[in-house]
Amino acid sequence: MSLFLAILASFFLITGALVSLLAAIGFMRFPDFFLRLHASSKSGSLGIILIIIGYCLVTPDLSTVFKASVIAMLLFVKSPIGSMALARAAYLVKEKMWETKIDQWKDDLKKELQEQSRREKAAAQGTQKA
Amino acid sequence: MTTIIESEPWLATVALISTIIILVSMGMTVVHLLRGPGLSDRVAALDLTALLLLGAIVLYSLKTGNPMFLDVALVLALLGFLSTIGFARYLEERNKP
Repeated sequence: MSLFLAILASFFLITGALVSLLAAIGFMRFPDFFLRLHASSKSGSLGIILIIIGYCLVTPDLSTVFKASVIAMLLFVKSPIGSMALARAAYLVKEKMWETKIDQWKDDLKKELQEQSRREKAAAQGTQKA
Repeated sequence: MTTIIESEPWLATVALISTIIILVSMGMTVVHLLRGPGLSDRVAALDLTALLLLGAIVLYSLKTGNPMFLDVALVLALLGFLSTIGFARYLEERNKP
């Protein structure tokens, strides 16, 4: 039983490390910020979660499994939120894109920037009056 | 009762190999962090570096059999998330007066 668990865990560990290596290679090689973010966020968190699953399989006591599961769930939740915030910020400051044919949110971006400038002007007038 | 790490000593070698692979990818990410073309690339590289460092810490905890390092990994995950959100906010608000 313990040999089987160890083989399964080593499979998970090696796979996680290789997926992380893929994330780093994609992060080096992709031509554009959004594609790089695509490589780093998805593959990176998948690789680390695989490593944590392998750790859970061989660890002896239950409390460590709970702690490791908390880390895995935290990564599972935080990775999309963080990359979404980064991509939104990069899109709003008009990061360069690679061979863009269709930009689905172009009108929304224009509207959002107008809305922001209008809000800032209103805030500036408000402070002047006060 | 012996643990799995003690009864199967080759598992430490597997953990060492995975740590080396992760450290190689972390080196590539750090090169990108130092060289990257813009601020947003550097922030993304910092995020990925923190993630890979977390993996290396978990593997080291497996190799030594000391679950104390998982606390370090937990704190690193929380701080990496906060720093990413903060940097994204800075990136968005940087050019405004």
